Amino acid sequence: MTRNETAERLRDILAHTLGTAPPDPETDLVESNLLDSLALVELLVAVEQEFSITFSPDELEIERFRSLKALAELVDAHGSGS
Amino acid sequence: MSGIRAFDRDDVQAVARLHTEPDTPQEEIERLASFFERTLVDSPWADGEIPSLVAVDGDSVVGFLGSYVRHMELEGRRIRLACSAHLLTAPEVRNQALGALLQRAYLAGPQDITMTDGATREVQVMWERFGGSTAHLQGLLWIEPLRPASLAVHRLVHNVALETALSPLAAAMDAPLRPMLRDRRAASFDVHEADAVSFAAAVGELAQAFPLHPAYDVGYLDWLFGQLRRLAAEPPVFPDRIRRGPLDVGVVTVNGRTAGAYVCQIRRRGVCRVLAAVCDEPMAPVLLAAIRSRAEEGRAAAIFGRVEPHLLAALWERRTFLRYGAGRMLALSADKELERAPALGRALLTRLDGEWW
Repeated sequence: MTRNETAERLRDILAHTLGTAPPDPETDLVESNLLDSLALVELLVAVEQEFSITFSPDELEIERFRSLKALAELVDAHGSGS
Repeated sequence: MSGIRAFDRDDVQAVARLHTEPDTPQEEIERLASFFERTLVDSPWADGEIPSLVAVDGDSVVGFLGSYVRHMELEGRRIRLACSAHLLTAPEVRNQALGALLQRAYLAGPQDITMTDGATREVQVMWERFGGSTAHLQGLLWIEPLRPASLAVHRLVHNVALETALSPLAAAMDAPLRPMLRDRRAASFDVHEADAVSFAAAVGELAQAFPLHPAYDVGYLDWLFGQLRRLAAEPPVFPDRIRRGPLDVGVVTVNGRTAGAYVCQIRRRGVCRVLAAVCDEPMAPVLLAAIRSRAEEGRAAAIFGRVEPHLLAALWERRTFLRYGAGRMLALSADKELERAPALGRALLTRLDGEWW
């Protein structure tokens, strides 16, 4: 899967879980008040299911979930090919 | 560096400060720090594989989740239950979803089952999204009033001297109510004061009625009873409306056979707080009558306990009130049968196995 494909699928997940797609891949989801605790839980579960991956405790840093771009890098690091 | 890592002894002061206000006296911070150190670091069941967690931002601790590991048995097999508690994040990072990250990290640990029994609605929603379930019945608190006026004074007056001064008036108001509130159920039993050895032996026998039950050892119970005695003797660590009383641990027998075991904190003119009521369901009326007799002897104003499935029918037959407010019990496990055991009444999980403080 290419980075663009990952980003597109993540954009759809974000649109579904947050109710709106981030306007830009680098939009700070925390600062723009799109990502609170419940939304993050929804996002974590949805991304793990969609890409058949499990985030390790070491990966659970807010910086990795702060933007679509950061999240796409995290997912790509898992080498998901689904 | 930011992220989540295991809590250690060096974090105790920072975590205590996280749980207090900026103007909290140092003495209270020290008391809380001591509590965390004793119960999270020095507990005989503290488990380096299932540690408490801190969220850090540089050198600062900005979030915390406490881990209390319990040894359990599931149909003869030893398992580890991880009880999460004290989840808190610093005000300046509360918009950063650190609570969710701490929970997710904790749930990923090597324990067989994770639970919490003081959860808020928000935490419940998060756990259920992560795949966990709620044992709704254990969210109920049962209250058996013995001296209603004294109970009202105890709950409304948060000043010990004033409570003492008002007690004769409350006692006079309670006097005409006492005959109406007496325990009308005839039950014959003997109550034996218990120590860690006799309590462990009784629970070992009684718990066989439950597929999932605690696997207490004497060393752990000795430590736990010591902590409970210390909490009752000191000013409150976590202020709430129930002031703790002296510890009362007992084994109840009927015709010489073990019928039940209990752990209570009985405060004169206050609350008899039931932390554990262990019996099989048919013996629950006897055990509840025995606890009531101890509460009466200790001149408590009321008995408070958490509803457990094996007590429900007996509570229904007594003059008890139920209130939803004991905190939600949540469970999560890869083994869904194990996860549902508390909700289905197949688990002996008392307050002693959760948030006993």
